[in-house]
Parts: sequence; structure tokens; C-alpha cells
Amino acid sequence: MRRLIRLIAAHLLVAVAFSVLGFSSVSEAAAQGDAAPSALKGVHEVLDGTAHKDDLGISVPIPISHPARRYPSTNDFPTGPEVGDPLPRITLRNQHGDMVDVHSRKRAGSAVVLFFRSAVW
Amino acid sequence: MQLQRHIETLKQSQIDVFAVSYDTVPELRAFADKYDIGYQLLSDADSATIRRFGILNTLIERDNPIKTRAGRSYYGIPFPGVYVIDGAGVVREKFFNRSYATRNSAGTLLNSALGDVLKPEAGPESNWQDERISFTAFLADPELKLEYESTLYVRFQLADGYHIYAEPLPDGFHATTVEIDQTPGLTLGEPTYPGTRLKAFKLLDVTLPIYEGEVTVAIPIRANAKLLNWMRRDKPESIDVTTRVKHQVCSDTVCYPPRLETLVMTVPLGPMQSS
Repeated sequence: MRRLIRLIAAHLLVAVAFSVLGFSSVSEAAAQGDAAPSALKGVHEVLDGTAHKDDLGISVPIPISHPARRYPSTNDFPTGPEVGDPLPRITLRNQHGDMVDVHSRKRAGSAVVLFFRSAVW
Repeated sequence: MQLQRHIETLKQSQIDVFAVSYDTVPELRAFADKYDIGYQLLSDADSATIRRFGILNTLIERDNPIKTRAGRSYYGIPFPGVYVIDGAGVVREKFFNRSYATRNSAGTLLNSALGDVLKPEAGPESNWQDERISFTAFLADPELKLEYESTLYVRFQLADGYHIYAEPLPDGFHATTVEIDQTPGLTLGEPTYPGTRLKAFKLLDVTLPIYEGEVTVAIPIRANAKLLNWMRRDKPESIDVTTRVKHQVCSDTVCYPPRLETLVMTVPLGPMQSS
């Protein structure tokens, strides 16, 4: 995990350097979080990508290289803010189109914040 | 959206739920109407929040030609996970699984958000007791579902004046241990034991870590794909989970012999589908 954070930090530094130098296309991709740690490999890269059975033994009719089935081959992948860190700002529209700020809640208790793949597929 | 079933408990417990995805507002509205979703679904359609969190699924190329049925790129989805935050907005716990197919059960999340372990009213359980100690094995959820990480708890209740022990201990004392038998179809995690109290025994001139009153040990438990294959073949409705509990009860003056008890819990299997 630490190595990953260092990698991401290094990428960000490069992004800042490039943006100062005017290489905006490179910096944009990195700043947007596209700077994949090169060490991170998907299960489809470790196993045969055309296989239907993944390393958990789950078999469905689409191959494991299909984008909907891609997941990391190891536990060393980015999981965002750590326990003890403040949760970064989340200000987004909800299903009714209303703007919601997760940090301006009326209730003082705990909250659960999920990031999931999609409600559509 | 297994959480929906627990939404009443969450509401009563004053826990807000926010679910973020890269879907658009109209897509989320259609989903919420169809499944009668009572919590906040948040639209991060350009994945800016997902990127800011650093959890964009970078294993999908931006120009991957394969599209969803709705004609959308898969690029932009996150590595799925859950944060539990406190009233000040600080992350108190987080759950990220390597595979999207593995999720944390509603019961496990609820207990984490509450900071307390709720025993489901209708869930499977198994008990043992004598006049000094009783213990119950129970599941965080009413059933096990494929690739949902649930939690098996063993809750000890000690009568006044009695205690049990925890590691590290000198020879002759027996620590409390909880172990689930390896069972094909079940993936088990490491048990989590609560913090201990140090108690000085003047006659023996030692200080030992003990548990008194109510103590709960937690073990992650998940139904894996082997179970799915078994279910497809034989269509079982439940699985027996065997938990072995070792303990030694003492008072200030008397120690009883260490015991090993076996709790067998019949756990219903939820509807299984590989996602």
C-alpha cells in the first residue's frame, strides 16, 4: 500500500512538473487519476484473458478480459482515503436531481458511503 | 442493493447512506423507482469524484471499444468499496474487496456503522451455557449469499465474578479461542478478539489479560464459488457451520477445567447468482 501511495505521489509530482512546463495532455491524464501504477495487473492479465472462469472460481459467459469483469489480481490496489483521514468532499446530484453534500448532513451520527459500479448494468 | 432491506434499521439508527456511481441522474431515478430505493444515489457521471478519491478502475482502458448495453463505455467505474464515516466526516472503517463479485453484507456494514454488534432477530444461531458462562454463535445476516462477506460472531456472557482468559498467558492457563471448521464452499477470515482488561491475581503474583461481562469475537465468513457449484448440482437450502470454542472459566479463587465446546449452526443459503 505504501509503495502504491508513493507511486501515485510520484505521478502527481510528474503531473505538476509537466503542467508547469506546458505538457497539458500528459498532466491532465495523470491529474485525473489515470496514472495507473504500472505494477497493478488485472486478473485478465495474469490468467488467460479469454477464460470464462476467474481466480475465485466464478464462471459466466463473458470472458475475464471483458471490461465489466476486470479486477485487480492482488490486494495491493488503490482504495482511497485511509481510516483516520477526513473523507474528501463529495458534492453530487442525487436521483431526484438535487445537489447533495455528504459533509453537510443534518444528522450527527455515522454514515455509510458506497462506491459501486453501476445501477444500469 | 442488499442494503435496502436494512434501510429501516439504518434510518432508526440515524445512519445516512450515500451510494456513488458513474450513472446519470435519469438512470439513477429509474433505478430508484424500480427498486423503491430509500437512500441517496449520487451521480458522478464524469467520474470526477471517483478520480479525486483515487479509486478509478485503471484496468479498463479509456478507449476500450466494448460498450454497455446502453452504449456507454465501462471506463470511469471505480474499484468498488465502502467507507464508514463518523459525524465529523472522518473515515472510521473501510471495506474494499479485490473482486467486484465479493461484497460486504448489509449486516456487516450495519454493525460497523453502529460500532456495535446487532444480533438479527430471525438469523441462525447456536447456544451453549452452564451456570457460569453462556455463549452464542450467530451470523450478521439472516442468510449467506454467494460472495457476500458476512460475519460470524460468538458472544460470551459471563456471570458476575467470573472471567475467561486471553493471550498472552503463562503455562497452565487457557486462552479463549474461537475457530470455524474449514468447510468446502466457505472462505473464512481471521478472528478479531476484543481488547482485554488486565487483572492482578495477588495470591499467584501475576497479572493476566481477561474478559468479563459480555465479549464478542468476530470472524469474516463468505460463501464462495465452490458452494455455487454445489448448489447448482444438489440445490441445498442450508449449510452447517461448525464453530469450536475453547475457554477456561475462573473466579478470583477457583478455576474450572478448560473446555472445548462445539456449536453447529444451520445457515440458510440465499438466492445465488453469479454476477
